[in-house]
Amino acid sequence: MAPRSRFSAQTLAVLAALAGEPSRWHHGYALAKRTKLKSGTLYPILIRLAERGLVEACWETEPPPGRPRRHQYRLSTDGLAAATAALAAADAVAGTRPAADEPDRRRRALRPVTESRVRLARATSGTPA
Amino acid sequence: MTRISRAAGSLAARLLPVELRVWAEALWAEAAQVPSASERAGWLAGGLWLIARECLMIRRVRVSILFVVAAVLLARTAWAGEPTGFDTGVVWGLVVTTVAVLALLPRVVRNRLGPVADSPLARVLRFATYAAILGLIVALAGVLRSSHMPSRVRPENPLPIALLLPWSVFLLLLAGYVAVILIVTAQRSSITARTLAIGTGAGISLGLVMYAIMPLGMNQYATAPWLRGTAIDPVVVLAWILLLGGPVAAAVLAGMRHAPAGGRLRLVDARIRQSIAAGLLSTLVGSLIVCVLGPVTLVLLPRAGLLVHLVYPGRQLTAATLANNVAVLAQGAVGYFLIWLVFPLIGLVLGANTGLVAWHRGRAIGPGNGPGGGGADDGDPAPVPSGDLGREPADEETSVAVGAFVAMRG
Repeated sequence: MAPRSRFSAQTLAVLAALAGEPSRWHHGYALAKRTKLKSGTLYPILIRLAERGLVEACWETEPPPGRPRRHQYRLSTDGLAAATAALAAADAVAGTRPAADEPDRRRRALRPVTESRVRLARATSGTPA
Repeated sequence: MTRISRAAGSLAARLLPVELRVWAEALWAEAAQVPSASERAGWLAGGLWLIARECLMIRRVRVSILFVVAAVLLARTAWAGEPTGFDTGVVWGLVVTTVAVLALLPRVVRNRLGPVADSPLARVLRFATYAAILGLIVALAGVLRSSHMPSRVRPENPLPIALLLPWSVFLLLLAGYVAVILIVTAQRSSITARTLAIGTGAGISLGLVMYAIMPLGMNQYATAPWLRGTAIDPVVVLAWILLLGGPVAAAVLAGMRHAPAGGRLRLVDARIRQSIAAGLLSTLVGSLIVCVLGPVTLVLLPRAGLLVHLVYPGRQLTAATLANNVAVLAQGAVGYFLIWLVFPLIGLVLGANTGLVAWHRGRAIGPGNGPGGGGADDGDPAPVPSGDLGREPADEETSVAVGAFVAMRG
C-alpha cells in the first residue's frame, strides 16, 4: 500500500504550483488562480508552509509605480525536497486507486498536482521546458 | 467600497500577532490585482476569514471570547427580574466590579510578569478560579434576590454604609484572590509548578473538608448511630488540622522540594518564597472552594433533590421546611465572609513563619548541615542541585523538620 501524504490535497496543490517553477517568485493571486483556492484557504496554507520553513516569503523590492508592493513566495530547498517527496507519494496513491473511487473534491484538487509533476521533474533534472 | 473594506481589513489585521500581520497585509495588497469587483470582494472576505481563523488559533483570544460569553451570561442572570431596590444595586455593583476586575487584572499581571506559565496546572488553576468566581457571583446574586432586602431598605432611602462596607471589603478581597492566582501562575513568576501543585492540593483538601462541615453539615454525623457519643467531632478536628497544619506542611514541602542553582542566599530566599506561596495558596484555594461551593449549594438546594438528600440524609422535608432551613443556613453567610477574609491571612502568616524559621534555621545550623549543603553564605555555588531537584541530604531534612516544628509551635 502506498504511503499516505502528510499534506492535505489543497496543500499539495499549492506545493505543486510552487514546484512548477521553483526558482521563480510567485504571487498570491496567481497561486489562487492556478490552484483554484480561495484567498481564505490559500493564505493559511502559505502561513503554515512558511512556519515550517518550506516556503520563503518576501515583499517585492521595486514595485512598478502606481501599484502596491506584492508579497511573493517560492519553495525553499527543504520545501522543494518535501514537495518532490509529497507529490511522488500523491502520484503513488493516485496510481494505486481507481480514479472512479476517488472523491471528486480530492481529484479536482490533485489535478494541478499531476500537471505540475511534469514541470517539477524538468526543474529538478535541469531539462529545459 | 474597496477602499473602505481595505481600511477595515487593515484595522482587523491589528488583531493578529505582529508576525502574522504581514500575511493579512499581503492578502490586502494582492487585492489590487483582482480584476472584477465581485471577485475582489470575495478575495477580501477571504482576508477577513483568514484573520478570524488565525485569531481563533491563539489561545488568549479563545480564552477572551469564553470570558466575554461568561460575563454576558452572568450579566443576563444578574439583570433578570425587576429592579427593586438595594439588592438590585448590590447585584449590579457586584457584577460590574467583578467583570472589570476579572478583565483588567490579567492585563496588569501580563505586563509585569508575562502570560500564563506553560504548565497545565497553571492554566487549570486560572480557569478554575475564574469559573469559581463567576459561579460565586451568580450564587450571591441569587441569595441576594431571595433575601427580601428591599422590604427593609427602601429605594428612596440612602444606601446604608454598614451594608456597603462588607461588600466593598468582599470585592477588594476578591481582587486580591484573583491577583494572587494570576501572579503565582504567570510565566515570569518565581513560583514553581511543584509549589503550585503542593499548595493547590493542600487547599483542595481543606476546602472539601470545610464544605463537608458547612453547609453540608456532615459533622452532625458525630451524633449518628455509628459515631454516637463522640465527644469531639472528627470532621471539625480534621478541618482544624488542615487549616493550621496544611499551610505549614505545604510550606515545608514546597521549600524542601525547591533547589535552584545559584548562591546560598539565593537558595534560602527562593525556598522561603516557595514556602510563603505554598502556605498562602493552601488556604486561599481552600477558602475559594468553600466560599464558592457553599453559596452555590444554598442556591441549588431548593432545586436539586440530590443535594437535599446529601444535606438532610434520610429526612423527608416539605418545600416550606426546606425554604426555612435554607434561610437558616444562609444566615451562616457571616461565616463565609470570615473564611473569605481570614483564611488567606492564616496561610500567609503560617507559610511565611514556616519558611523563615525552617530555612533560616537550616542555614544557622552551620556549614554542611543547612539547606543546600556546606560552604560560605554569599555567592558560593550551592553544591546540592545536581539535576535531581527532589533529592536532598538527610541532614537537611532533619534541620527542616526542626524548623517546621519550631514554626508550628511559634
